[in-house]
Amino acid sequence: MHIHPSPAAVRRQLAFHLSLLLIPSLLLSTGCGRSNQKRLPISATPGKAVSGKQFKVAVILSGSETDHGWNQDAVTAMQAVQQKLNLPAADVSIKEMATTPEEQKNNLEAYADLGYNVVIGHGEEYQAPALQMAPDYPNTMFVISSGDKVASNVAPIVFKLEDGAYLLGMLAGGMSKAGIVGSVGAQAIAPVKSVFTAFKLGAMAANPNIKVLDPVYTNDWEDVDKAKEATLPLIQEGADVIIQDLDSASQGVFNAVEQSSTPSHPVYALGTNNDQNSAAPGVVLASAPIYCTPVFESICQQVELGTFKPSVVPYGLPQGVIGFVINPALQAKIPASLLQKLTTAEAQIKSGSLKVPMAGE
Amino acid sequence: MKLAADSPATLPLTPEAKAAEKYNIVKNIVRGIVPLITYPLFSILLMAITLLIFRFNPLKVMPVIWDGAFGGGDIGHINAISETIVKATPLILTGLSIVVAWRAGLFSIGGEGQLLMGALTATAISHLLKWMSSSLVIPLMIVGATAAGALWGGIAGWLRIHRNVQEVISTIMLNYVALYLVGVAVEGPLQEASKNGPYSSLLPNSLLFAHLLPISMTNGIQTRLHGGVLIAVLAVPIIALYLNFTRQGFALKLVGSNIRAANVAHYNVDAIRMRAMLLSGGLCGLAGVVQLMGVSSRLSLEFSPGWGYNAIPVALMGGLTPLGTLLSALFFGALNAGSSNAERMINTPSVIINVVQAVAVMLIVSLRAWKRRASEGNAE
Repeated sequence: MHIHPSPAAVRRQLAFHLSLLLIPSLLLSTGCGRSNQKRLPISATPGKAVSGKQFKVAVILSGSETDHGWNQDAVTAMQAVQQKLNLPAADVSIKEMATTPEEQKNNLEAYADLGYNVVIGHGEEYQAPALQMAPDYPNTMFVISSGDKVASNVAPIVFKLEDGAYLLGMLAGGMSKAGIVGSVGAQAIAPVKSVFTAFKLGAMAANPNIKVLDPVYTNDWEDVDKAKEATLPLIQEGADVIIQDLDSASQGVFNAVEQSSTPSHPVYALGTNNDQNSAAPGVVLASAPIYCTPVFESICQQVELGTFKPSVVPYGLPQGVIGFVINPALQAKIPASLLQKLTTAEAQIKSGSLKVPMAGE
Repeated sequence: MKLAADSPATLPLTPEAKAAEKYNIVKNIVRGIVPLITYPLFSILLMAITLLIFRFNPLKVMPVIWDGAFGGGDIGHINAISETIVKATPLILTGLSIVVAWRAGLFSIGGEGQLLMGALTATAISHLLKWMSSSLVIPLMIVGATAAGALWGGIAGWLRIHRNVQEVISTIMLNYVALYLVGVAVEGPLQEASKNGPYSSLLPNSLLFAHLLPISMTNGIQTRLHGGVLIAVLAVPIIALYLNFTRQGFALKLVGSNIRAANVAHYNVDAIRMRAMLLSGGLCGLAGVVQLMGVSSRLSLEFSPGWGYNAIPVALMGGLTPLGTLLSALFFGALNAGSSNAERMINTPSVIINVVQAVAVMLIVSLRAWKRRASEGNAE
């Protein structure tokens, strides 16, 4: 009878059995390496509506379609697209909660396989997979929100939040009693830094003597506490208007500002990416939201007609994709002269006579 | 079978014993088949009820789920079944991992962390492609991921044996350690070159499992059925043979079912437990690299939608046997593939499918508990 195997024997046997598992994988590994099997000829007008076939549009979201922000705005935009192009509800599809890389890639492929003309990946995370698979689907136009690379059937949407940030900067420069303003960001990546640069330019346009503190970064898009901890020292340094680019974590900035603001020494915050005015109505002076509706509508319409050409041309205030919304609850606190300046600057940016710089331009 | 076992082999069986034996065999077969029919039937019924509660028409939604899992409508049969198998693949491996650990009486909840460690290690190893050919890097990735998963399981095993830390606790904790390690990696050394988001760059095609079916078989639409699927499917008979027909498998079961007997028979219980944790972890590590090279292509904090955790209901529904796990993983795979299709085709929210799955799992677990109580009641 088998009694008490020696440790060495146990190890040998274990190694043997683990290696059994690996045999098939080693055999397979020689047959590894994937080739793009289709490689169809590139279409001159990817996604263009074909007569007799329904024009179909899909969006893939990495989060919840009711997130009161980035994803929900895309849902609103898709509803607008459906109305504008007069599509049946069945031909406009929304996939939410594609959180994993597997689902993101799989849904891009699956919609293209189903013959969707436009497949929108709502976030930069869809760009690399879309670029990789695009040659296999020459009849589908892949659109990447916040992308920055172009292929014959991959189109980035470059959001020029800088337009809004510039106006927020002017507002901050005009409203700051201390003459000091600050910024809190999640990651020191190019788009965030560029937004803060535009903010600084705006602040200096309103008040040439303004002191703009160096941006602080939390390295976290979600941690509200970290955002709060990063904001309080800025306020202690004297900053009394704070801009942020933090997504879900922005509430931390608002909390810090609310806590520090007193009637004799008011401190304000500014909203970005969404209309955040109601997130802290007592302190958020204004927001620069992103609106997907005009850009989704415009791209889908052009693709349907076959006139769309992917490009990195940014969508900003002139296209109505970036907005500037003053908090109605605080509008009375803003001097009329400053409001006048803001209205003028907004009109100038819209007409193109004032051009706000952005990173990579 | 008591009668037959007690009587000496040389004596002929009485007719009564023969009849009893036949009856027992039939009873066992029926017992094996009944859940395979009743569980899916109950799940379908539950799905219909859940859909009704959320005001969706089951007659409209469920055929679309069926199409996504088995084909029909706009979806080819081979395409849909491939998708079902691809969705089942990680669950087969992680489910087997649970079976191995639970056979040895170890309640490992660590599949998720072990899987992530496998994927993390494989992603790190993939960078060797700069200096080596892919035919060398691929085996290294597979072996490295399996070893990393085994190590993660082994840590919990070591803690259990030498520090008497319950593996239920330690494996859950280690899941978080693995998750945070992935987080550090994808925002640091393994982040993609453009540094735009917290994920690694896509693996090059040369490091992905080949697609198994030519597009000529599937109406020009590429199915996702990949080489890694074969690893998962082959692991089932290997683990079944190991558990049921080897000395080590017997030792594992002995430790799991009666530790005192194992001690009395001078089995090295510690070594056997350690072995179970290593093997269990290795299987999950393998699942991580199979997903990475088969479907995901890149590592991120969201790499796994819970393949490691879902392994527990998969294994439980499969009766904690390898073959049962394969079937139950395929069932869950069909549910996943079908619901993804329903989301795309008719915008059924994904959360409803999650509810259906959760309710199905609770039903199965409670059915088992109810059956056990009923049989205990009969015995008294």
